[in-house]
Amino acid sequence: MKFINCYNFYLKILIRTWIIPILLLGIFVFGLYTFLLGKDLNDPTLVLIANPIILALMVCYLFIGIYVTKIDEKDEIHETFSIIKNAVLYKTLAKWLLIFSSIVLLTVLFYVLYLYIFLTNDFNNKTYFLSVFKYICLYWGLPSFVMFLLGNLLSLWVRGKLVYLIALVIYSITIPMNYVVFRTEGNIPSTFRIDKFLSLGEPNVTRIYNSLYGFSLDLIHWDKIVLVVALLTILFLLTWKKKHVISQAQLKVSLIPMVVIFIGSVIYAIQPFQSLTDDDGETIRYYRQHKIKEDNSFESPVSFKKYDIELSTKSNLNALVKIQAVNTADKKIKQVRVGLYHELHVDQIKMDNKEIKFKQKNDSLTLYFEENSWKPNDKRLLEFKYEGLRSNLYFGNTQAVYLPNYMPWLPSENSRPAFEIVTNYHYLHRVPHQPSEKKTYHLKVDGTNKLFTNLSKNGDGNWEGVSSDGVSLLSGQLSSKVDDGVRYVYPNTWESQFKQPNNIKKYLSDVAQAMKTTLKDDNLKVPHTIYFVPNQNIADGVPYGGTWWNNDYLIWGFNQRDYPTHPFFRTGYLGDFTPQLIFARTEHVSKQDDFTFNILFSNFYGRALNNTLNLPNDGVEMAIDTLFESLGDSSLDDNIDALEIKQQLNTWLRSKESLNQKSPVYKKWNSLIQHPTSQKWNTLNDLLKEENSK
Amino acid sequence: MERISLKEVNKSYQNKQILKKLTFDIQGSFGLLGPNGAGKTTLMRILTTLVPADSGEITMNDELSWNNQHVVRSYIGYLPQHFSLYKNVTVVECLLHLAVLKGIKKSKAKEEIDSLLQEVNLQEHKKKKIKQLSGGMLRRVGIAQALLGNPRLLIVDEPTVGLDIEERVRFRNLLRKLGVNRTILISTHIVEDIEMTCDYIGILKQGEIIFTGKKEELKALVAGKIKEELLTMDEADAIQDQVISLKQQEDKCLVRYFVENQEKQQATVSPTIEDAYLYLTRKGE
Repeated sequence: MKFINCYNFYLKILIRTWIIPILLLGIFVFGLYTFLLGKDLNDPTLVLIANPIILALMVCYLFIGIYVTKIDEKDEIHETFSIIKNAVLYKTLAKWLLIFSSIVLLTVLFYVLYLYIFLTNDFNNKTYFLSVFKYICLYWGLPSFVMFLLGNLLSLWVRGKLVYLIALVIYSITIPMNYVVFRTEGNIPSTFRIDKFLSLGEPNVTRIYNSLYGFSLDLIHWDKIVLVVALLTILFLLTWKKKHVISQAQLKVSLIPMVVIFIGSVIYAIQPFQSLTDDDGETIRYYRQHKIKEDNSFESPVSFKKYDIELSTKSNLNALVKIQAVNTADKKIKQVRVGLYHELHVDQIKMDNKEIKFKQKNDSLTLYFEENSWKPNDKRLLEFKYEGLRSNLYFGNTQAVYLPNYMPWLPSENSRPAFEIVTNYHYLHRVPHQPSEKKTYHLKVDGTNKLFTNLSKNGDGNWEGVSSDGVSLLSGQLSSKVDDGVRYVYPNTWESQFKQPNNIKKYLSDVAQAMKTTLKDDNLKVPHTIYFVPNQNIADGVPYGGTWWNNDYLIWGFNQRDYPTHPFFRTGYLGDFTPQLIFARTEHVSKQDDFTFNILFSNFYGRALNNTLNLPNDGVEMAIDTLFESLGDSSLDDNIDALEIKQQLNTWLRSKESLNQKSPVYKKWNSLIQHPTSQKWNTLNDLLKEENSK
Repeated sequence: MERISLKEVNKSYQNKQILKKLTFDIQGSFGLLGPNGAGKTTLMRILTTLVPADSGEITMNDELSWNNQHVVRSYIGYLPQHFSLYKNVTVVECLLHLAVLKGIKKSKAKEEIDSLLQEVNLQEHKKKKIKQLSGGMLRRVGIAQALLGNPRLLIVDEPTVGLDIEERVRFRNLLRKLGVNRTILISTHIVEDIEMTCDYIGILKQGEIIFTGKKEELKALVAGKIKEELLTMDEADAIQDQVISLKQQEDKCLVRYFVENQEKQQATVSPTIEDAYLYLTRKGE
């Protein structure tokens, strides 16, 4: 009764101020305007992440917080109510609820507006629209409420007009665009960013929507709000006690749960976790700093036959992997090197249930078992326990999972680095890590609801199968559909692009058919599953790293910046994509990962293939120009004259025969990729010289 | 009627003792007089439970201790010195808000508010917003809110400050009426307020209570010690320490003053509260 009375009373006061209802209405109209603008741009994600409405909401509620406290903190009013039992407490809580309900109302209104404007027959994915609601709650609603509480607390502490100045300072350092104040915009290679620490809004305001990961809705961001609200409540309680608003007993009863919540949220915040960041440069920086010279030690003398994988994808990836391995060498071994992505930190390794010593360095692990040497053909059970992942290319948490077969997220016999920096332009190149033989997998995953994988499902949370393509796991803002025997898995924001995907299938079928005929790749066919995922970022440089054409499935990579604002799979795009497909296949079949050699082939042959398929070659020719510019002597073999091979390639490019995808040059070039020799550059040079002289 | 007893009540702020071992009883309509800085407001804030005393004891009828803050609050109606309410809310809305917070049921509160508005003569203005009221009306709203829930002790701080003469008279009459059936404590530095509204008086000087008792007892303290006569300005200047009031009358002044000399006592006038108050507060200066 008392509470409702206070609620209604303050509602009347706020409505009669006029300025507050007008402000809120103004914000709503402004929101409508930004949504309509987003509709015109056909980008329903941009209107959320980069919408200045959050700035308006935060400042508005900050000053409402100051105002509703100030009207009660005047001595003449404060004293009257102070001597009424619990009056100030009822009034304060009623004000909080009133403001909170106004925020809930605005949040719901904005969401309804969003649905009204963006929900269409072509774009109606429930998971996406639920994430929009969470986004509006987390980054529009809750920060507004926190700002209100801050304003409230400030005006309890600071009398006079100084409170407005302090409020403005607090506002400028807590808004999502506070990097302007701290001058920390851009990719700063630091684990701690003061702007991110203090920001109450969207943490990745400078990055575009990631259509696999979705919005930054990780639990850690909710935890931050809980932590701040708990801290503010503690400060309120102490202030009220000092002002005799609450008794000692009331303080104790309310302070204890708040302190527990506060400590709990701090403990959660300091646990290891993975969340989307706006630092796309982390991976490229790491591999620039950790250059590893290739040698024979990358190949392990043991063979992994069977994997038992237990994954937990909660705040970050936790893995327990048991591997049945055989020593394929013809001698005893006392140590072995295996590959594992450096962001995955190994806690423990066991061999036949006994813990063994190991050393983790970069993307490799060295296992030591001196006292228990491994005899030839001997089978052993290796057990790896590890956790991690942090940068934006691979994910393993509740919100998204992206663990593709080409990346060493499972311990593998191949201990080459996961990435290489190539050419003079420092492109980020993914080094293939998919297995070269069939292996048996049993997979158990805890924490992810809808998981896409190339293994077959065997009960809830269990998958198994035999694959020569390794294991790929995907989860996140993904939809799937089966059309004409092909399963398409794609981001739900790309729904409209996959309405009639038969042109994709036809394109792949044409490319596969031509390559199969020309290059004698017998396993090549239209895969039964196509994973269309944004697995490249701005640090990639060239778009050749994300696509992977396995025997059973195709990972069709695209850049996280790409957005389907127009029909995406037009002939122009497909023409540009052909070399990527070819490169993806060469990465699969090649016995030697030589970026320069393979990429040149992919583009030259892709150009010829496009010509056959009547696809435009403008993009490919530009890409070839860029590649020529980026090739330095170090990109080529030591015993080849860079100038000469470039000249031969250029001459070949100008010849009519270069557009013939059946040309023997491509067959022989491809043969050099599949069966590389130390003289392959010279052989290619001679081949081109011979053809050019005709 | 309630009796509030103070025993050795002390209060200090920033190492300065504001109230010094106050021991006295408050009953009936009680006026607390004292010059500015005497500690009246501090004492009122202690009695309203807004601030706690450093030491000492306050009880109501020797039963209810002021340590029991929440219960005491339910017995008190308080009109602060600078009273105001929310500008954009009507008189009735404000009073209803306060009544419900005081624990009065909404239906009963409406009746009570009607009756109180009748009592403070604000029926016609009940739908006016607070910002549309005059100073006097606002004080009457203050009294109405203090009376909500029929408190056993009504505390009024500087009730007539800022009111015009007409409003002041009306307000004093109202306080007089309210003091008939309840204990009412009025704190003021305006002697006239007390003279017209209170039966009991307490005088506070530099944190100490220097008198408590009935009005007549206070007046009796200066009986035979007040004289009034026409004097020149020079003559008046010569006794300026004894002067109570001075009125210009053509080339002379009608001077009211204390008489220290016993021989002159035959020509004295009957004393007022103001005379006694000034006598006590100047004593020892």
